[in-house]
Amino acid sequence: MSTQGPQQSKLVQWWIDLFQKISGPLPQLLTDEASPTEDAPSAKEDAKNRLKLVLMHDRTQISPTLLESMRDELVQVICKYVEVDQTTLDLCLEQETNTIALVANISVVRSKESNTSA
Amino acid sequence: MATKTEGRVIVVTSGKGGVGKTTSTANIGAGLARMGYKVVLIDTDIGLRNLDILMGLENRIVYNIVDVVEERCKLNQALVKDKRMPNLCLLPAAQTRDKSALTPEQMKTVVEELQKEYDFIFIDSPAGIEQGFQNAVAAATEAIVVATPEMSSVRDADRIIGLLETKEEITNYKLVLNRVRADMIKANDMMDVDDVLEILSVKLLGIIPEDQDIIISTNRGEPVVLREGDKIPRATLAYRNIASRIAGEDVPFLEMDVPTPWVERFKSLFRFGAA
Ligand SMILES: Nc1ncnc2c1ncn2[C@@H]1O[C@H](COP(=O)(O)OP(=O)(O)O)[C@@H](O)[C@H]1O
Ligand SMILES: [Mg+2]
Repeated sequence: MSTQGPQQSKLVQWWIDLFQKISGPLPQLLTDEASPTEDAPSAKEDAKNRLKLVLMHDRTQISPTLLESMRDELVQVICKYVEVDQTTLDLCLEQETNTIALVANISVVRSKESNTSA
Repeated sequence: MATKTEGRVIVVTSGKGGVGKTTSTANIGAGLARMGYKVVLIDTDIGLRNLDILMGLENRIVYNIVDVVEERCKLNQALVKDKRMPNLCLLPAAQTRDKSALTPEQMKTVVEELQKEYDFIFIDSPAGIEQGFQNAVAAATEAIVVATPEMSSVRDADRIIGLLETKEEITNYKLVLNRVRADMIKANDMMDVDDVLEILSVKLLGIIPEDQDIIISTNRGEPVVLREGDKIPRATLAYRNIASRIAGEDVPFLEMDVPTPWVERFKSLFRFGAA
């Protein structure tokens, strides 16, 4: 704390304290324009999105782990019939107007049976 | 006057603790009493009673609701009359017992008796969704769900709404959104009223701003809704509006936009200079 000129730094601190007392938090005032959070979602959006997801799990009582094992089994079943890109298989809950839907999104590479005759 | 119709029984609940159930019970109840209705407030938070403190009636308690159901006294003996209004009273919780000292059936019996006398019976419920909650909702036909615009509170409110939906006796429930901060909403740091309504798909009963006058009032044992004069706090107005809506009046919702604090104005001055 006390490096060069304790007298001076005390005085500076006094001014900063005084300034903060009248103006509120100083950093907020000065960094306001330069804040880097311009395109990151706001805390409000974060809360909304996370909450929507949590509530879908709460309401359906389908936990993320359960969803995961359903996904894995689904992959196995589907792979018996068609060749799919396993990494893109996405199973999730989606809020529709009045219900919650289980939505699977699967990119099919091609059919297992070689009926790609043409 | 015609014979009195049965009093309305309204439970105030939330799931999560500390979101403003007791504050809302005291203020909405006192607000309706202020309008002239006969109101009784029941504290069902057995072991953690607080409604008496908020009402400033803690020194007048002789008996409590457990004494009534265990027949150590008459219901009338346990009712604590408010010091400001003769048409308002409190049925206190027991402080030295636990939730199991009361059953839903006993609650119904007590409430039925009160319904003959009073226009409104407000039931302040404890936190949680176990027996205390079951006791509190047992006799109610309407519910007020209290939440703050925070994730954990909204999540718990959703759970409570799910439980209320399964209760046939509850014909109607509405949301009171408490501790709303216009400054944080403006900065996109807090969910606004519409966000919460959308997520919970519930009807709105009222919006209470974050207001230090609520704490001051609690310290004084005088519900904020009873402040008078021409410089009343915003929370006073907010609770009066809720009371009026419950009584059937069509009152517009509070505009949450507070006057810009001078620090903000100072900042915009800078921006203006730069532009
Ligand atoms: N709108 C508000 N503004 C400021 N403080 C509040 C507000 N609502 C409640 N509080 C405070 O929050 C605390 C918890 O409120 P309380 O009504 O006891 O919650 P609960 O009954 O749900 O546990 C109390 O200290 C109360 O004074
Ligand atoms: Mg309480």
